[in-house]
Amino acid sequence: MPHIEKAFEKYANDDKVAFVLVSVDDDPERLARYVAERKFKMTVARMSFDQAEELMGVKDVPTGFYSDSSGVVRYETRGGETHGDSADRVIWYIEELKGSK
Amino acid sequence: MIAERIVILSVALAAAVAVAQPAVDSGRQALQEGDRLWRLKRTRSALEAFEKAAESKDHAAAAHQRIGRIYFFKGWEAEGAFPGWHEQVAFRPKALKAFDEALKNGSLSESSRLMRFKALRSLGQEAGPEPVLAPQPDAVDAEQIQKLRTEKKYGEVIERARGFIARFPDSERLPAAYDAVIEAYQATPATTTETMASAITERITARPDPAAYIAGANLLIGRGALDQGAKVAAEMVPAVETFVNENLDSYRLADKAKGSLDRTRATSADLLGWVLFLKGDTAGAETRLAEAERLSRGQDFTNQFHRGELLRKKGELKEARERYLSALSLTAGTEPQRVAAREALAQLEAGGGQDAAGFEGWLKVELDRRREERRAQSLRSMVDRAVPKLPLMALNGQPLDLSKLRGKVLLYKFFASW
Repeated sequence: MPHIEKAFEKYANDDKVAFVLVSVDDDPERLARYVAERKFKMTVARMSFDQAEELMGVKDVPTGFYSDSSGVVRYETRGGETHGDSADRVIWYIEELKGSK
Repeated sequence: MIAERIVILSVALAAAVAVAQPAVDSGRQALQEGDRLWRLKRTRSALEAFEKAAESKDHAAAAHQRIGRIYFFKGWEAEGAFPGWHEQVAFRPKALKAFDEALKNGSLSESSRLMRFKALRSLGQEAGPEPVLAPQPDAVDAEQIQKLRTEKKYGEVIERARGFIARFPDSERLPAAYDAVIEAYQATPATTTETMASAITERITARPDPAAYIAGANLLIGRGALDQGAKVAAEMVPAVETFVNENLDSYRLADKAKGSLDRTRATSADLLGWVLFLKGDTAGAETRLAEAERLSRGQDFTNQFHRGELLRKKGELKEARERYLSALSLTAGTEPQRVAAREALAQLEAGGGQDAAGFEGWLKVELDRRREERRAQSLRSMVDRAVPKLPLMALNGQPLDLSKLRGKVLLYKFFASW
């Protein structure tokens, strides 16, 4: 997740871009401890794993969806990327979508 | 008296020149510009030029006839003419209207009369007797070149196709003649790289469609002309953007046009990465090839193969193996590439103590599993689907409303603290 936080810093003041972290934790208390520890600046939400699977096809975490300004998913990433996650890749996807409209 | 007449005459001449000349020129110029643009398949701009030419009375018939031919192509012949193109029924009445407009202002050429006949018949209207077309000299020549191509008589192909190019510089079939020349050069070992490069440039100039760039860049890189190949690969992206934008309504769905642009950008990034790899710049190659992989969503044979080669060179054998397998589980790829991918895999596996018979069995199991995974993944993929309303809760358990984020580019990251 550090790469997501690093990418978020670039867009913290960009009103055309938002990040939503969605936890599928079944234990809200452990999640609360985790969030308190990490001090995320992004929106953090939660929903059940079952619903995430039913609505978004989430089979595993982490899974990321990049949607464009019309709300349509254009890219998805499942699992970690093979050469390690990097902020640059997150930024690349977002810049693609910012540029496409 | 004489002097007076000269004055009157020259005034009259000047007036005639002032009135007639600009009108004749602009109409003719628009017509020629339209013809040039249409040869390049800059369809939107060609139509604009012909619409302008149609305003001039002298050129109205010729202009409407050309508009009719473009709409005829878009309405009946565009299906599969280029990747992602479709015929559009909506253009059919427009073709007919343009031909009728041309007839009102003058006459139609033989080939336009035939198109109009086909249009009328296809639309279920009274079409009269079918016009019989005299054989077109460029069509006859093109057919002979094609025959020589299938007979692999490459010396003659070059001679005939070069003759064709000189004789019919305005023919629709010009790009195909260049394609024949390039294919024949490829089969002729004595061809120099300069000769090949200039034929590729001529082909691109004749019609800058995606295939011209992709084939040209591949050929040059394959011959080791890395810088020239990279140049073509880099020029490809803006050129194809123009090509797609000039023909947007032939893609039917905006997603198909976007798909074509993404594929082009992926191919360009892959070729540029491959050039860097061949030059020994591993880090630069990695960046480009990874970008190509994202743009093609890991679904392009050549890119997966190139990724495999790069990873193998870096000694990341497990990752390399994955890419070769991913490549082979996709269809497409040229035969030499597929053979090379299999051989690379066999070597990697032999290093792990696998014998030849064992390798074949192992490969089949691995490829079947990947194809199955790919199928399952495409079924559950969210790509190109709208994000549904998600029943999100804030950390305190209260419902969370994200409607204020509407209209933004969003990253939803599903995670767990475990």
